[in-house]
Amino acid sequence: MHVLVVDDSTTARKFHRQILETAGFTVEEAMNGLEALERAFAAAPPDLLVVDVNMPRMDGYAFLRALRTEPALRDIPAIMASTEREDADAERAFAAGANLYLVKPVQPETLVRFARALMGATA
Amino acid sequence: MGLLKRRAADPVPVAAPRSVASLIYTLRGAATAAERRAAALDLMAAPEAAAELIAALAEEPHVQVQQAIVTALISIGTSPASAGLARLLASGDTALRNAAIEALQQMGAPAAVQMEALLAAPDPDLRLFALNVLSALRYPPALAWLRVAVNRDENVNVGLAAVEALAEQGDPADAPAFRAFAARFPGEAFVAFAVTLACRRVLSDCGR
Amino acid sequence: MSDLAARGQAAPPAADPESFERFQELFYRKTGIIFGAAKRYFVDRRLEERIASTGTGSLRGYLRFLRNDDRTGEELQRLVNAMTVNETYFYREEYQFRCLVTSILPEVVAARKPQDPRPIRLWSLPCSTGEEPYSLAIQLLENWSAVDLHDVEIMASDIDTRVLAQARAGRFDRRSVQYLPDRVKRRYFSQPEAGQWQLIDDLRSSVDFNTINLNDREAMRRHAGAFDVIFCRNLLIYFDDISRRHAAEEIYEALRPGGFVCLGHSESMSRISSLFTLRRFPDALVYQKPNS
Repeated sequence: MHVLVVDDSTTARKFHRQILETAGFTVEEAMNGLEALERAFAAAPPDLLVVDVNMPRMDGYAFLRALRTEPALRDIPAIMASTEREDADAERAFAAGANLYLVKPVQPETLVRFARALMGATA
Repeated sequence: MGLLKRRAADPVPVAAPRSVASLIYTLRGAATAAERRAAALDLMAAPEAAAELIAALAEEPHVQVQQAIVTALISIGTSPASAGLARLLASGDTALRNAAIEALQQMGAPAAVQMEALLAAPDPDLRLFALNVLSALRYPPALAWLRVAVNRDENVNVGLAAVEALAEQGDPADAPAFRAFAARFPGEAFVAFAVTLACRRVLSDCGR
Repeated sequence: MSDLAARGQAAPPAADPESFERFQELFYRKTGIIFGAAKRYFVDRRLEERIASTGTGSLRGYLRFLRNDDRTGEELQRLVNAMTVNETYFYREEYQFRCLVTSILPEVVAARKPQDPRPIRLWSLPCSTGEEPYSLAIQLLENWSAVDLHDVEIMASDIDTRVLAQARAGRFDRRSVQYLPDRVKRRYFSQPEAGQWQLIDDLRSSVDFNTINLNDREAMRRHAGAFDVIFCRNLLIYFDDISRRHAAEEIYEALRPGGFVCLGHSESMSRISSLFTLRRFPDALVYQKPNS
């Protein structure tokens, strides 16, 4: 199962990579939404996305919205990870096309549980 | 039909250069988005237009015009331009805010200077954005501000951003501060991870 | 004279893993390029050259130099230059030409109003010694089924007048034409001497060469909205952040609404600008100026 981790923080990408690789996923990285779209299009699309909110060029919301308009990508499940913890922020993420919402800093067990749940749902 | 022969001369008439006032009028007015874009780009060489560009940016609904205005402000690069962009970090418009962060990240010292005040803002988001800007800049006085944030900020995400920025620009003497930060947030796996990376980075920089 | 050069050819110390990781992060952040393990030898050799050239003694020292002393960004540009392959030849990155005739031009044509009197305009920059704009011309003639139905203009620009003169002359060596099918070579070139291929006059005269500089607002303003497709390959990657951003604005201005821009295969707008919409065609990813 292949995950694309989208975050402008190098440390966050490395951390999420470590968690997901330990859990048996292969991981690719992108540092903003536009790069993420390009990578998602490049070879085989990823099976799962983990997406930060605030990134240059194309933020997480814009990325998810763009993703959901593309026939080849629109069904890829996405976890949005954000520093914001209000319900309104989660709602906004879901409205943009996220399936699940995580508050940063992410707990490894939660990320893995969410990832597996989304993979199970599409298996 | 088919490939045309090379043209001998450019048939497009050259327009007279426009005054700054005229360009600002177009930018703030009811012109088309394309006209507002062209006006913004033409103001790249007009530092005196910084305040008007900021005001236009705050009201501009069209994202491609926003981008042109930001490009002009980056080119102008003055303190008023940076100050205006710094004020936009408090905007609720995600795209506008991220555009402001992107711009400030390319404006060097004038932008860095603006961040000091933001690092003392009550809103942790503003402090976080200030750190995002500083992480992309090389402004030696900012190291002290980063150290304060690592040592004292009570918000874990703000502290993490400061750790990440300081890891790139700091020195081996910062390692104890990183570990002290980790001690303030026990049980946070990401904090432990980030601090391990940060220590490794500053400690590998010693000597030579 | 750097310390290293003065000491003679002392072998540089092997890059420590942390420094190499740091280099990769820097390069990825700036260019979007990740070097796989297979490229390690190539990267190491190039880094050694840069370390020697700057007299910084080690990768660690070199990175510190880049962080603290490279005020103008000149060394960073040299680093990017060193790490990317710069040769030009006919049909380089051919998948984009395929995309042009298969996907892009049909869309351009479909979007036109029936009575639009303007030709379809393509722009190649930097055009260097002409392989790219001439490749466009040949591709249109060889592979675009609708080429006889539309007027097409090709403009080609480079700020280097020497390469421009060479481009106008239209004479190429074996290395430039090596990937052209024999049929194409026979049809569009003569061979005045062994190892030299001379482009036929009809094709030479189909490209309009000039020295327009992408960062020159005055020059660029005159071409606002003029082009349907711009090929700007392997240029922006060498610009600093601000110039790159400005260049993207000018490319946007120079395109018609709905027009397309193609970058080099290891370049990405993700490091440059959010102005354009990503379009994925079967042969290539390209960027499009929104329609309005």
